[in-house]
Amino acid sequence: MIRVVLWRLALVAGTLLLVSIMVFALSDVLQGDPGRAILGKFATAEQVAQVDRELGADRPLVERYVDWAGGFVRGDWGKSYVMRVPVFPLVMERLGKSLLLAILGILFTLPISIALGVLAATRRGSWVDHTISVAGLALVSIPEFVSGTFCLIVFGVWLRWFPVSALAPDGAGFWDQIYRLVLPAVPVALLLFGYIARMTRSAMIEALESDYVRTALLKGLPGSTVILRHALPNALLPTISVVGTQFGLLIGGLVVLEVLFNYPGIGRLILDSALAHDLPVLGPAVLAVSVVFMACSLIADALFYILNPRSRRQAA
Amino acid sequence: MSAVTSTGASGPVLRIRDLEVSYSRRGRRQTALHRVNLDIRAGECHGLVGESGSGKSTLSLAIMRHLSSGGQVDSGAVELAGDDLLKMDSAALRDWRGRRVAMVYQDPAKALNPSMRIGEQMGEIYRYHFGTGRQEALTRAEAMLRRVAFDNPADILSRFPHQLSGGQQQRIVIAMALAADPELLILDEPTTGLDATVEAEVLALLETLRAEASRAILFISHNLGLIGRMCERVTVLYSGRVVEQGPTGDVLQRPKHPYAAALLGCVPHFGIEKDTHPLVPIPGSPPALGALPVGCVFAPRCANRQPRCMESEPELATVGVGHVSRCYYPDAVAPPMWDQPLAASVSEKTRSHPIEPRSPLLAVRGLSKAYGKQIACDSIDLDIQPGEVLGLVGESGSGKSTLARMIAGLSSADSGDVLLKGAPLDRDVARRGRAQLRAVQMVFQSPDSSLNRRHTARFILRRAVSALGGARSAEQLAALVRVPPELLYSRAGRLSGGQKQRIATARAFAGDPELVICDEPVSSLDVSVQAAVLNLLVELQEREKVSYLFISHDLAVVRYLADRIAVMYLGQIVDIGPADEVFSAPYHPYTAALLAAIPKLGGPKFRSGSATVLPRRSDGDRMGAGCRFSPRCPHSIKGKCDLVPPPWQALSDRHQVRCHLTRDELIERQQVAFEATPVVPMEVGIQPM
Amino acid sequence: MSAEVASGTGTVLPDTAPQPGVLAGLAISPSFWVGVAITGFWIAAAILWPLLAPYDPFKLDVLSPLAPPSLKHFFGTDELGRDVFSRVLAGATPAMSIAPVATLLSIATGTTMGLLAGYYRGWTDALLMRVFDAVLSFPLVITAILVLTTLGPSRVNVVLVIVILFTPIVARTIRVPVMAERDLEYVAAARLRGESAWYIMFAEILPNVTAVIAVEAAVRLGYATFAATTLSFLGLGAQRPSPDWGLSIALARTHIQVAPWTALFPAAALATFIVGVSLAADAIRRGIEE
Repeated sequence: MIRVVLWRLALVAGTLLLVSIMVFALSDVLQGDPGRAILGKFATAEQVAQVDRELGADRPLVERYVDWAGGFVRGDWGKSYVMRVPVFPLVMERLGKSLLLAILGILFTLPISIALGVLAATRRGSWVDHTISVAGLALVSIPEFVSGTFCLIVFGVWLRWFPVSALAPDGAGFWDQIYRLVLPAVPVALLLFGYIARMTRSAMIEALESDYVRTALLKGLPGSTVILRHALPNALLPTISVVGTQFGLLIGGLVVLEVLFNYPGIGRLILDSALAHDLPVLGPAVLAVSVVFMACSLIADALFYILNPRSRRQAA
Repeated sequence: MSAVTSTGASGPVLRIRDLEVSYSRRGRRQTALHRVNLDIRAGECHGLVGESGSGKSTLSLAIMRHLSSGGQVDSGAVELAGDDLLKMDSAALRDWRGRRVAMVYQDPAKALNPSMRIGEQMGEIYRYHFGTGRQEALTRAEAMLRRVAFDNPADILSRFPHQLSGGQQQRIVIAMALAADPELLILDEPTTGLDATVEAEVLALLETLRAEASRAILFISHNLGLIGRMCERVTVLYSGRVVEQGPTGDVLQRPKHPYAAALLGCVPHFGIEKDTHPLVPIPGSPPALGALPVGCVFAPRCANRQPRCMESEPELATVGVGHVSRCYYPDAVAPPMWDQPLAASVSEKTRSHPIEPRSPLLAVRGLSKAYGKQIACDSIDLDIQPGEVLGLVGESGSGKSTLARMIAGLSSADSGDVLLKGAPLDRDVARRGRAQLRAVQMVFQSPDSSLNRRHTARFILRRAVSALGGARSAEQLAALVRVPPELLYSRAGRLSGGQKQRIATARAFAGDPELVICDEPVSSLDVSVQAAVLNLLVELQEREKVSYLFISHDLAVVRYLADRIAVMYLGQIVDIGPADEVFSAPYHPYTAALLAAIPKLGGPKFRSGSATVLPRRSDGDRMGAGCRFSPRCPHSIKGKCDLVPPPWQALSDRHQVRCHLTRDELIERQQVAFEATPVVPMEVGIQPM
Repeated sequence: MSAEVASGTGTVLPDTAPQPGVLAGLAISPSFWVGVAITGFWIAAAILWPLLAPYDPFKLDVLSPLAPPSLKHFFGTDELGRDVFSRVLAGATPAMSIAPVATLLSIATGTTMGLLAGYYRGWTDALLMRVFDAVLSFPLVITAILVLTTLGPSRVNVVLVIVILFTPIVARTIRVPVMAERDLEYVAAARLRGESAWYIMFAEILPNVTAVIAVEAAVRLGYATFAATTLSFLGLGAQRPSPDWGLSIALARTHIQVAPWTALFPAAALATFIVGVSLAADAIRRGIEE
C-alpha cells in the first residue's frame, strides 16, 4: 500500500521534473536575449549586457535552471516583463478563474452524462442508444470554439439571455459572475458529455455482460436492482478516472473559450504571455497548469483506489 | 421416447419435453437444440455430457430462460413440478430463478461481484426471495456458509471475492445457489479450471450436500469421470440432439450409441499407455451449428455407418431399462476398450526399451528463477535422455511452464545451467546459435495463438525451415503431420484447432530438433481432436527419434505418453522416476494427493471418490526451510518435515522422491489412506476431455 | 483433475483484421453513409471551390462590408466585404490539407514508438512512457501554444506540433495490443527460431494490430482537424487572408453582435465536416470491434 503510493508520487515527481526541464528549455529558446527583449531594438549592446547581468541571464544553463526551479518551488516567481506585477498572485488569480469555469462545466455535465450513458447501455441497440451515441460522438468531435460560437450567437446575440463577455465588471457579486459563466460553461459541458457518456456506456455494457451480473439476474433479483446495485458501481470506477483526467486537462485547456468569451483565465494568460514573450509569467503559469493536472489525476487515482475493493489487501 | 419417463413413484421435478432452441445468426435461424427430452426426479443427479458446441450450455441457459441474444425457444416445454417456465410472467420468472432453480457456473472468480462483500451478495437471496431484513439475511447467510464447510463464516461474509481462494469462491457460489433451497440445482462445469486438489475439495463438498437433501441436480460436464462419480443418470448430447440417455453405469460401461462409445475410446483413461492402447480418435469434426443433416447427425464420423444412416435420422429407441439411444444399430456398438483384456504379449513386446541412463541429451543443473519474492523455480536438476519422453506434471503455479521457458531460452534463468549434450545453452534465446536453436524447439498450448493468424500455414513453415536451416519443404512438413497440402495456402486464423496444432507441431520439426518441449499441447483441444494430436505426437517422436519434455496438468495424458515422469510442487521437483513407478505405490505424498483427486471410474462398480481432501494452500504458507508440501501433507511430522529440507530418497533404483519418510513408512501410511488399493492400470479413470 | 483450459477450440482471440463482415456491416450502417456523404462534400469543395464559388474569396468590396445574407451573398459578407459563402467553400482546402498529413505522420511515428515500448517493455517502455506522460501532462493546446510561439506560426509547424502531440497518444493506444500480442506464443516461436526483434515487431506483430491502427488513424483524422482549426482560431495557424474556418471565426468574434453570420457559417462548415469525419470513423471502429 505505502509502496504503491510512494511509487505513484515518485512517478509524478519524475514527470514534473521532465516537464519543468522542457518548459525551461523551451522558454530559454523562446527568450533569445532577455535584455534585448526588455530594452527593445534601439538599446546598445552594453545596455543589453548590463540588463542580462542584472537578470543573471549570462550564467550557465544548468545553474539558471536550478535557480529557476528553486524559485518556483519557493513561490518566488518574479515579476512580469509586460504587466509589471508579481507573477505568483497573477497566476493564482487566473487559475482560480479557470477553476470556476471548469467546475461549472463539470457540474452541468456530470449527472446527465452518467444518466444518459447508463440509459444507452441498458437500451443497447435501440434508437435511444443510437441517438445518445451519435450525439456524444458529434459533441466530442466539435471544437469548443465552434459550439461556443453557436451558443454566443443563439443565446448572446439573438436571444440576449446572456452577456457575450463572461467577465463580470469589478465589484459584481459572485452570483453575477456565475451567471456570466453559464454561456461559456455550456461548450465545456457539451465536450465532456461526449467523453463521459460514451465512457459510462461502454463500461456499463461491459458490466452488464459480465458473469456476476448474470449471477445476480439468475438469483432472481429485479432488473433495477441488478443495474443499480451490481452493474453501476463497477461501471463507474473507470468513469472516475476519466473524469479526473479530463477535469485536470480543463485547467488551461479552456484557452479557446477564454478567448472567445473574453474571460481572463490561466489559458488566456499563457497564450498572451507566450505571444508577448513574457517569460517570467509563461514558465510558472505552464508549470502551475501541469501541477494542477497531476493533482487532479492523483486525486482521481486515490478515489479509484478507495472505491475499488479489489485494491484492498488480500486477507491473509 | 417413452423410456425417458420416470419409473419412480413420484413424478419428475424437472420435465423437459421436445425442446427446440435456435439462434439467429445473420438473419438465419440455426437450431441449437433439437427435440430434447429430459426428466430429473427429486434426489437424482443427472449428468449432461458433450463436446463444445453440443448445446449443453444452451440447455442450461434455456432452463433459466436466459438465452443469449438472438436465442429463442421455438417449441417444447420446460416444467418444474408442473409449472411451465415458458408461460411465466416476469414475477414468476424471478421466483423461478434463484428460489426454485439455482445455478453454479464454471468460473467462480467471475461469477461473484468484485465490488460487493460476500455477505451482501448472499444476503440478497434472503432479502428478495423471503423478504427478511438485512440483519437476518446475514445471520442466515452465516448459517449457510457453515453448511458449505467454512469454519469462519462471519469473517468470510465481510470479505470481497478477490480476498478468497478459487476453492473458497466456488464454495460461496454453491452456498448462494443453495441458499433458497431450490428444487433444481444446475451445476455447469463446476470444477473446470480449478486445480486438482481444489477440485477435490469442491467435489467432496458437492457429494456431502447431495447426500443431505433430495433435490434434483443437473450436472453439466465434459468430464466422463466426474459424471460417473456424481450422477445416477446421464444424457449424451451431440449437435443439439440427445443421442443417448440412461443410467450412468449402463451408458459408460455398455454404450449403445457409437458417439458415446467413441468419446470413451478417444480419451486417455488413466493408466493406459501409448504402446499398449493407442487412442482411437473420432474422424472428422462435429457438424457446424445450423447444418441440416438428412440422416443421423453422427453418421459422417461413424465407423459403423450403414446406408440407412445417411437416409433418415433415427429416433430415440429403448435399448435397456430407462436407457435410450438414437441409433439404428445399438447392438453393434463396440464396448469401451477397458472391457477388452489387456494384450499382455503386445505389452511386453513393444513396451519401450527402458532407457538406460547414459550421457543425457539435456542436463538441467541448479536452474532457478524468481519473480520478485515469488520463487518460480528453485534449483532444478533434471536429465533428459536421447529418445526419451519426460513428463512434467504439477498444479498451476508449480513452475513447470517457467522451467520449460528457461530451457527454451524464452525467459532468462537467474542462476543455473542448461547443457545440451554437455555444451551449455545460452540463457537468452537471442544469443543462441543456429545449431542450438534448431536442437530445442517447442509446441505451445493454445492453437489459436501459437500461429500468427495473419500468415499462411505455408509461410509459417517456410520461414521456420529457412530460419533453422532445415532440409524439408513446407509440403513435406505438412505431409509429416498429415495436413492436406491445399490447406497450406489458408491463413492460420482460418484453420481449425486441430489443424493449427498440427502445423505448430510441424513447425517445431522444421529443423530436425533433438528436444521438443510440449507445453500442454492438447489441453485446449476438444477430446476427439486431442486424441488425434496425441497420436501424432507419439508417432513423430518415435519416427524422428527426438526427446520430449511433455508438460501437462493431466495425469492420464502424461501417463499415456511419458517414459519417465517428474512431479513439481512450488518450484521444486519432488518426485521423479519411470512412469509406472511414479504412479504406483508407494507414492510421494503429493503425487498420491494428485492421483486421489482424479475421479475414478472403472470395473463394474463405481467407486465413490475416496479423495482425501488436502488442506488448502494459502498464500500465508511460508516457504520455510522444511518440506514445501508439509503444511498440506497428511503424513507431515512436526518438528522435522516443517523445519528440515527433505532428502532425496530412492524408492527403487530409478524412482526418487524428496521426502523424509522412508520407503517402508510410505507404504505403511499409504495402505491406510488408500484402502490398500493401489492404482493399477486396470483401474480406469477418465480424464477431462 | 484440473483443466487450466476448458475443452473446446473456440477462438480465444478475435481475428482483428477487417473481415468481409465488417464491410457488410458498414454497408448497412446509416451513420457511416451520412459521414461519408458529408466528408465527400467537403473534399469536393476543397478541390472544386474555384468552380463553385460565386465570388473570388479574396476579393475585397469596401462598399458592402458586413452585408447580411441575401440572394446576392448567400452567407453575407465579412468586414472587408468578401463573400462569406465563397470563403466557406474555399476554407475547405486548408482544413483538408493539414490534418491528413499530420495524421499520417503521427500514425507512423506513434506506431513505431508503440511497437518499441510494447515489445521491449522494461526500461524502454518506462522511459518512453515517462516522456509521453510529460508531453500529455498539460492540455494539448498549451503545448501547441508553447511550441508554435517558439517556432513561429506556419503550416509546417502546425503539422509538426500535431505530430508531437499525437505521437504519444497513438503510441499509447498501439502499445496495449502490442503487449498482448507479444505474450502470444507465435512470438515465442519466432524467438525460438532466432528472428530479430525488428522482424518480430514489423513482420509478426504489426500485421495483427493493423485494425487498431486503422481505427486510430480514422479517429486521429477528426482530432487533427480539431487541433489545426483550433490553432488557426488562436492565430497560431493559418494567417490572413486565408479563408481558414478557424481563423474566420476568430476574426468574426469582434463584430459578432452586429454580423453573427460571419462567424456562424464558418462554424457550421467546420462542425459538419468534423462530425462527418467522426461518424465515418466511428462506424469503421464499430465495424472492426464488434
